[in-house]
Amino acid sequence: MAAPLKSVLLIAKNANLLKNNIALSCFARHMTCRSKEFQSAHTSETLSEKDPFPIFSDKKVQDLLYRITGFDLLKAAGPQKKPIQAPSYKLLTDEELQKELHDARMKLKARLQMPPYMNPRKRNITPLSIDPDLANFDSSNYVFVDISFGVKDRKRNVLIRETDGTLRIAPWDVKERMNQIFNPREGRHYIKPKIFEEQRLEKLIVEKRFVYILDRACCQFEPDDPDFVRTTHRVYNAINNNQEYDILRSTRHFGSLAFYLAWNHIIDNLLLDMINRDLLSDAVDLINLHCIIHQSSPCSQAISQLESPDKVAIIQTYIKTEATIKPQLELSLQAFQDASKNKRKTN
Amino acid sequence: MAAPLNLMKWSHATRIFANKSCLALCRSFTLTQKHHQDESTPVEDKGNVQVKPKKVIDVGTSIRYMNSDAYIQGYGDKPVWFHYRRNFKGQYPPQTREKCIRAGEIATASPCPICRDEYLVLDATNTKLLEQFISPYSGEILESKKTGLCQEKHKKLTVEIMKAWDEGNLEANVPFRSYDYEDYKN
Repeated sequence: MAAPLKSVLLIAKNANLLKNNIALSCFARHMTCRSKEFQSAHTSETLSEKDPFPIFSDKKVQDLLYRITGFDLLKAAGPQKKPIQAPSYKLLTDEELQKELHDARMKLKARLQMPPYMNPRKRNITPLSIDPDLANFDSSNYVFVDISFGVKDRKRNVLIRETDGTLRIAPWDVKERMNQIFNPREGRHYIKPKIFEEQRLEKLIVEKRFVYILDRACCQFEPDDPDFVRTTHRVYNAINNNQEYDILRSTRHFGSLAFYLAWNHIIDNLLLDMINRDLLSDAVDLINLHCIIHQSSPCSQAISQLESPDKVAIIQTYIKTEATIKPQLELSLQAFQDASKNKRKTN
Repeated sequence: MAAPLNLMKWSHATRIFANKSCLALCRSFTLTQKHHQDESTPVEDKGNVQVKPKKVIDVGTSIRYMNSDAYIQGYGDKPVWFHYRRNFKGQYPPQTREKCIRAGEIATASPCPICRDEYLVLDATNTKLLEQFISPYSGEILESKKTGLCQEKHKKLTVEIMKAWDEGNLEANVPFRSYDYEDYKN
């Protein structure tokens, strides 16, 4: 443990960090009380949970989630508030115009990138070294930050020398505030905005400003921050209870919503919504997602044994094996089948 | 029968809101006016006279006012600064004045849109007022040269809008955040 420790301290000495040491130490008191809060909030989490991120970031799952998100040009490229600029005019040939349109489309598709779905992170409690000789060297903690060029925020080494002489890896909240000081990111605030307090969140959810809350949460928190997980899950639950899925369609959050629902075995309402909107291929994708996540579930086994896996058969298998609102799902599937039969007749 | 009766009651209430006798409670318009008033009333021993407390309008009243008929009568559907004109020399507007209200009284001839109507209270919860000072196109706070607010009120406005953004009463511009999935793989 001693070797990496030394190197970090050396970096701290070399870099112009020493100048900042005094400034940093004044955060220390604030920090200690914050980290206590963090600890108490974290103990209630269940520790033995599977890590969802490897499944979420899998290519197959990502493609599937992009497919069910959809791509409504008007919604993705709708009016956005940005600094006013003078318009620019270009004279283009047809090919150049097509290329410009294609580029614009790709830019908009990049905006659908989903925020990673992760479990809340755990705190590293074991101290790196305990030096009783250093006890009471100062009245406040010292924070050491590795600010060498090119270090990414998540890989940055941040250590704390506490007043009792213990040296430990800084808790996540301290690390993030140090990141905001040395590598500020637009849209992230040093002090957590009040919008993420329970009461205000509740108010915004009642007003159905889901996308705004989720966007703000993405900017403020890391995807494995307990606050991020709390906020997003709360919004997803509200959407699921009120069946307002359409608000999130064609935004970056729809994939995460679907993944959350599939992860927690509550896809029935979303499935019903998809069938009612005639999005049968989306419904099949959702069931496939459910099967990928829960491979030992009865539904995934039944589907793998299907001889002719067409859309309706897959949905019927799911309804038979795992659905909790069977009658409604069967009814709407029946309605869809009747409607498609009528269409064929008229054609 | 109940519905028209309620309506009558309500319109009566709004009339009272805009009533002269009610407005007489407001702060006097200019210092000169006040001096004239002071001269006409017999001078008493100033040491013993209790100074009448200034009327302070709370945020709740202001929010009610923003939704009342009296407000629509006064401003219509335009922002409160829309019809305000500053009197300046030349083509380019200079910086607005430091403040319009000194010692509780309006001290200038043409007070700014917020100072002239004391029922307009700048507060993080009074979103209907605040959003009149935010550009609908860029989402930025309009500058005082455009709205004509005095520097004191403009500063207060900026603070309150930022509070409202922080608390989620108003929607702030949110930059797009892109993720590198490699960072999150262990």
